[in-house]
Formats: sequence, C-alpha cells, structure tokens
Amino acid sequence: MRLAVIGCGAVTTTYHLPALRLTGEFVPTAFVDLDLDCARRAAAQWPGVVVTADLEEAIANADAALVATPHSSHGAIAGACLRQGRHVLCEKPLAVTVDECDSLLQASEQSKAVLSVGLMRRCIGANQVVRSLLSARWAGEVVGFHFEEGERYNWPTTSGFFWKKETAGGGVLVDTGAHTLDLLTWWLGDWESVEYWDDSLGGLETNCELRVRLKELPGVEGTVQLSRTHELSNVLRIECSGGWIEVDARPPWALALHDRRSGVTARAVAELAERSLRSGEPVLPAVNQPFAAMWQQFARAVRGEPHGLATAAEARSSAGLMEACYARRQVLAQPWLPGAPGPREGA
Amino acid sequence: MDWTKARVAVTGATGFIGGRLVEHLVLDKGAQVRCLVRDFNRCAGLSRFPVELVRCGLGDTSGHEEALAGCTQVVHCGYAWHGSPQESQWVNVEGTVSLVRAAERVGCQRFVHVSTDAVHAFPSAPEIAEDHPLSRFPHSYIRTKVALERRLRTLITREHAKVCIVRPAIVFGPGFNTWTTDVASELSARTLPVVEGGTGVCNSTYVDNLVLAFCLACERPEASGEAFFVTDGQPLSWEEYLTPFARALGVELGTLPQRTAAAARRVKPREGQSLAAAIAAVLAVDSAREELWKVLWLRKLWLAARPALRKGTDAPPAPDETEAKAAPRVGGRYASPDAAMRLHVYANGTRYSVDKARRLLGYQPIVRWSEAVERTLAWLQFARIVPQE
Repeated sequence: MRLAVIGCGAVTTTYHLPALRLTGEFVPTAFVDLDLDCARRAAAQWPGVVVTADLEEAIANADAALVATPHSSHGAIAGACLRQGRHVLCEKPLAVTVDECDSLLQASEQSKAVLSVGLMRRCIGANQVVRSLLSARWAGEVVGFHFEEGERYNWPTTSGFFWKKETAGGGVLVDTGAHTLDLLTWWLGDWESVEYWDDSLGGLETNCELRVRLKELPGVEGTVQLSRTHELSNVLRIECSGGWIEVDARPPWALALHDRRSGVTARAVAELAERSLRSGEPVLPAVNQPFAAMWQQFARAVRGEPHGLATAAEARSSAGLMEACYARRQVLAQPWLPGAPGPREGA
Repeated sequence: MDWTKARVAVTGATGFIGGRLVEHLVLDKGAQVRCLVRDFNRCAGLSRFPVELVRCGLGDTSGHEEALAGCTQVVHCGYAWHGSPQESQWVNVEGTVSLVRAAERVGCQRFVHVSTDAVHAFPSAPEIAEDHPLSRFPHSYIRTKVALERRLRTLITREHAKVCIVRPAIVFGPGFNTWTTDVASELSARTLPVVEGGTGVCNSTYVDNLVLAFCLACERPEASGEAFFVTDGQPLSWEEYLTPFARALGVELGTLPQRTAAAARRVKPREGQSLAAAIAAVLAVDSAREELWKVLWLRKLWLAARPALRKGTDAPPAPDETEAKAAPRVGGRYASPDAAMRLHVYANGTRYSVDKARRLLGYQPIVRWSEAVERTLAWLQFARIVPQE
C-alpha cells in the first residue's frame, strides 16, 4: 500500500521509518513537511518519492497516510485525509479535545476509511498480557492502581512545537500521558471522575498528578504521576485483591506478577515484549519493535481483519480524561519556589 | 527600572541558573523573556512559562543580531560544552564577543555576562576582591572563562560595551547538578571526598541570591564595565554546607573518604588529549577564518598533547597525610579535570568578598542559608533524590 508520510520530524525518522522498512506492508510514496529540508532528510532513504509541503499533492497518489505533525494539527490534517478516503494512522494524541475526536470519527465513518491511533504501547506483549490477566481476573478484583512515568526529557524535537501551547495542545499530560491514560482506560475501562494538579506557570506542564475514579469499577481509584524533569519509577502497578500486576513503562517492558496467597512474585522480561513481532523477522531495537507491530496491525485494520490498534472511539475516552484534567486543574505544590502554594490537601 | 517593559534575552536558559532566572523574571518581575537555545531538546522546564524560544546557539554568530532584536537586556548564562577544549573555547569566546556586539547594535542597555569565581582559582589569600589576578589553573573551563573575561575587558575598554561581569561561586539550589544533585549522589554513594575534615571555605551562593544580583546588574548604571563576586555573603565551612544534605540522606561525613588539604591541593588535572586526537581536532578546522588559528593551534597542540605523552601515574598518598583511620582514603596525584578541580574547591581557604556588589549594586542576599537549604531539600525530595521525610 502506498503511504503519504505527513510530518517528518523525530518520531517519523526515529521510529516509524525503520518500522516501515522492516514490515514492508506500506511503501512511502510522499514525504510532507512545511520544512522541506526536514522532508528531504526523511526521504533520503526512499528514492523516487514525492517531497512536498502540499498535503493534497502528497495524498493524491497514496492509499494511506501517517499523520505525525504537531498535536494541534492532527484534527485538520487527519480530517482532510479521511475525507478523501485515505486510511489514517495518526500519531498520539489523536486530538486534544473530545470535539475534535468526534469530528474525526465522523469523517472516518462517512468515508469508510480506517482511522487508527499510534498508541503503540498496545502492541507491546507485556501490556497485552496485563489486559488478559485483568480480563481473566487472575489476581482477583482490582482495588487500586498507581502509574508513574518520568524522566529528564530530551526529545530531539526539530521544530520546537512541543514547547508551544498552541501547537502542542498541552505538556507531559498530552504527550507521555496519551500512552499512560490509554493503557489505563484499555485495561480498567472508562473513567468516572478526576482530580488533577500540574506545575504549569503560564505555559505547559512538565509535572502532573491525577487521581482517577473508574466508571466500570465503582469505588476503585488510583493515581497517575508524570514528569518531564526527573526520573520516576516508570512502573504501572495495579493492585488486586489477590496480588498485584506491574509492568515497566520503558523497554524492555518487564512484567511482574505477585500472588498474595502463595507470596510468589514472578518476573518476565523481553520474551513477552518481543512476542508481538513476527517470528523470523530481523529484530529492531526494543523501542522500535512495537512500532513495527503497530504497522502490521494497521495493515490488518485496512484489510478489514481483526487488529489490536486503538480506535478513534477508544482514543476519545483518554482525550476526554485529558480535557477534564485541564478543566479542573489545580496548582501542583512546588515548595522550593518563594511564595509557592503549599501542599495540596489530601494528595 | 520598569521590568514590565523589559524584554530580556537569556542564554543558557535550559540550564539551572538561566532557568531560575527565567522563572524569576516571568513570575516576579513580569518581564518578557526570550530564551536563546542551541536546540529544543531540553526546553521542558522552560515550557512551563510563557516565554519566547529562539533557536540560536552561541556559535551561530550570524543569527545573533536577529535573535536579540528588540531586547533591552541580555543575561548570558550560556556556555558551550560541546567539542574539544579548543573548539569549546573558540565557540565560547568568539560567540560571546559576537553576542556582545550584536547586543550593542540592537541597542541593549546591559549585557550581563555570567562568569565564575573560578577565574581566580585557586588563591592562597584568606580573602580576595575582584581585582585579584586571573588564574592559570590547567582546566579547560577555567581557561575559557579567563580568556572570555580578558576579551570582554577589551570590549569594555575599547568599544565601551555595556557589559557587567558577575562571578558567582558555589551555586546551589533546586534543580542544580554540580553542587546539589551531584553532591547528593556522591553523598549517597559515599564517594564524596571530605577535605581537611570539611574545614575549607565554601563560598555558597543560593541561586535566588545570584538571580537578584543579575537583576541589579541589569538595573544599576554603576554595574556597567564592572565585575562582581556574588555569594551569600557569609561563607560557610564545607562541613556546614554538606551536613544538612548528608543528614537528609542518613550519611555521616566522618564515614566518607578523607583527604588532607595539602594532599588535595597536590592533585593535578589529567587533562589533554592523545596526539592523534589533537591532530584530528586541528585538521577538522577547515574554514578560511580558522586557518589563521592553525598556526597558533599548532603550539596549543603540543601543549594539549604533552600531558598525554607524559606518563602520569597515580602515586600513593604522600606520607604526611594524617587521615582518620576509620574512613577510606583517596589517593593519586592526578585526577580527571573536574575531580581535581573539586578537590581544590574543597581545600579552598579563600573568601570572595561581596563588598563591591554591596557598595555599587546595593546587593543584599535575600535568602538566608537555612531557608536556602530548606527549599533545596524540598526540591531534592520532589525529585526523589533525597527520601521524603
């Protein structure tokens, strides 16, 4: 299938293009970026492709499109592709508001084109196992959860769009949080209510904390903590009545299971993470593997076969959660700042 | 000075000192801030504020004037660490000169250059003022900062550039690596060397006091053309500095590696590169302008390669050392440049006077030591470097 690569920044060159080359399901025919030098650099490994800043020109000869542009443009660009009947794999977040998600959903339904979201964590074997274990109630009833993801941020963004509210749509919540909150709702179902704190001081948040109550598991609540300034445990932990389940949020996505009755803790690394790749294929670095799996799944979706990708309807749930967070924002305690607000109550 | 009408350009804003300055200018002064950044990778901290981010590195000299257009003040916290020591020195010196001239051309009222007390490293007098001779200590960072100050002095004298040089000492505070998180990490790992029982002089400088000095340097006419030491004004011993951090980490200073001041001062930086690397560095310079430098660099090549050609071996500690028997000793006559410099800093016996800053800038530190420690520990706990109480 012919693919228009729209947006040629770091995520495209670092992750998507190596994965596309490996899976071979899609062949790039056009590279689009407002920064033509950037598009040329990305296209260097693909001779004979169209390099352009014109979206219409790019999708004219494509069956599908990768949308990897600044977050706030996803709605307009993915919408334009869908309306012309092109299947779309849109980088996360699908959109930063529920309204935008709805309009993309509508465009997808009307054109019968597939709209999938690049929430590649769903293609990681360990995360799939967590979902299966929870469905099977392996550790009993879910009683709580605590998700932490944080590191000193050093993403090689070429355009700097990440740091502008109007183009990024948000900070760590919409970026890293898109993955974390998607896993939360994928594993534990829709959310009911949320309390939210972040450290934005007129710009974007780099640290945030959420306390989420779940709709499908009444009475169950848990916390999510995200940071772009310092290392957190990078572990997603689900407490259950009969034990706990933990999965690392970083490669190689180690999985740990604890059975409370026996007191046994089992750990699995790498094999589970690699299970999502077709056997016999050359192995990409761990961090690229889920991208390769994601493109395989997208090909299945386009062919109308069962697939494991996040649909736009599913992405809508986590987008709604993000929107609710910003609407209910409270200031995160930063006690090292003179005159900073004190620690919040109860958190 | 009406800060709400100021547009301040800050270099090095992705770093700790520049980042805190931006925070203060935006939150407390209501100033407009433009951050000149080499790349966008490390802008997460800055993105919390409504500031302008402009991609313009110190070496991007052709873009300096455009990057500073419309700015009223420049605070130059940036330092180019990349490349060989020679490349780094060239970028820092020539880049800063270009930035000063660009600031003059666009009509900036003040250019505050952030230097370091290390330009005097390491004096023997009990107290020094800003007119103390500049250092010849063999460390590339110090050499660069000294060369920078000399060039700036020329610009001030010959071109009447409105430059103010600020020389902070042991800067610490939330988010800082060298004297905060690195110290905490070395304390945790029990690798931090305690020199002479921690009796050396620590010219501590809490970052907010430094930021205050930057603002005064922008505001006060008397600042133009001058250099100022900035510290907290009341030097501590290293034992006093380290104790609260060690206590929060549950570490006894007496259990850390001990060294006498005499032994620490004997340690020399093992700097320099292999002959091949030095030749490669010179040959890598291919622009017409830099051809001129090659002649000079051939001499530097020999100086740079000389330590590598010399067989510097770690000698056992000198016999006159009398470290506490319970604590491990650290020995060796050579260390990495940073490790050697830090040993000398811990052995320091000199106070840096802030009388000139008090007199000409009206500088009066606003954050006391106890409060500074409290805020720093609060951040270290937030960043999970120190355990929560």
